[in-house]
Amino acid sequence: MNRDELAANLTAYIDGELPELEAKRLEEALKVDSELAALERTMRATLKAVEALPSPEPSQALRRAVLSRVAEKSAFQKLAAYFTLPRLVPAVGLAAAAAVAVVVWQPWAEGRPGLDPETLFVAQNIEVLEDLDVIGLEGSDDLDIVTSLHELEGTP
Amino acid sequence: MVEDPDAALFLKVAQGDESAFATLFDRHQQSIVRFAYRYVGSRARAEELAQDIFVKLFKNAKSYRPDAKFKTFMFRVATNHCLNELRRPFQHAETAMSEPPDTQEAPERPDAALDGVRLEQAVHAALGGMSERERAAFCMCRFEGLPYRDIAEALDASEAAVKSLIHRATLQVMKQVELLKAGLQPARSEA
Repeated sequence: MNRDELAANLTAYIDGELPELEAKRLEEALKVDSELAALERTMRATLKAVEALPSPEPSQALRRAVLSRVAEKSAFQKLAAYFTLPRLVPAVGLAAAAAVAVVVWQPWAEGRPGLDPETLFVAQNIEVLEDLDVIGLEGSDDLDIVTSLHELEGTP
Repeated sequence: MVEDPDAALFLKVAQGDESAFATLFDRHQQSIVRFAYRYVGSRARAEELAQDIFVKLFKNAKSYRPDAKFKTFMFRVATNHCLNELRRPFQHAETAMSEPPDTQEAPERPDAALDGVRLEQAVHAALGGMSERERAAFCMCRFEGLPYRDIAEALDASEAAVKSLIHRATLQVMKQVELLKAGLQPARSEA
């Protein structure tokens, strides 16, 4: 194994990730190769300093934001879980039945024969017509008699 | 099945247990914010990414199988999210990493402060020069202490590939630190 191959194992060796046999081979090389040994020392010192760098502290706002978003998601998931297939099928069935009823009703309602104007007039004025019937009048001609009744009564 | 207390909690989350999720959040929020921060170099952006990552974890809890450690699953989600976000237009990794890092408050000793700030700049520059997978592997290894096997699982790669990614990334950091020691400004991201 040449120096480049040995040097390529240095990081894994420092991290304790090198298999035992390869680690022993590297240790032997470090004893006799001062340049490789210097590289190993530099690497260890650098990694120690890098790992000691301070890291940012998470803010309280992060906790609030994450837990709030998770609560929203959870509520949505619970709602979605409620509408499972066994619950959804009857609901969809009812909705479909209602839709069919509307579709069937609409042409029937449109095709229904309309009322003639005379019948409509009677319906709109049914109360007045009933009153006329009570006082014994049978039509509009009788109304003229009522209008001129005082003249007839005043005649000696 | 892996004996992992986080996995047991996460299985409760899959059943809709919000308090189990809050416990997991409290345990891992610092790791995720730190990982995202090292990825994008901005605290504000890191918190936004962390927020999305945790919400994604909650949404995808049902897809979790406890044959993998929770932490590995979490970093897989985190890595994918960071990669996808940075690939979006105007959110490219290089753009984010080319800006100066948000450095921490200075410690009391002025010489230590200088070293810390400059080392931070050197690491930031090195991270900016790495490939996305090198950066992810390096951050999970150096700042989160994940073993190579877990990193390989999180990145869907072989352990040999992870070993190579971490070694290349480490050499880049060493190069930037050497420039720092030589009194030169750390090189800007070239990726």
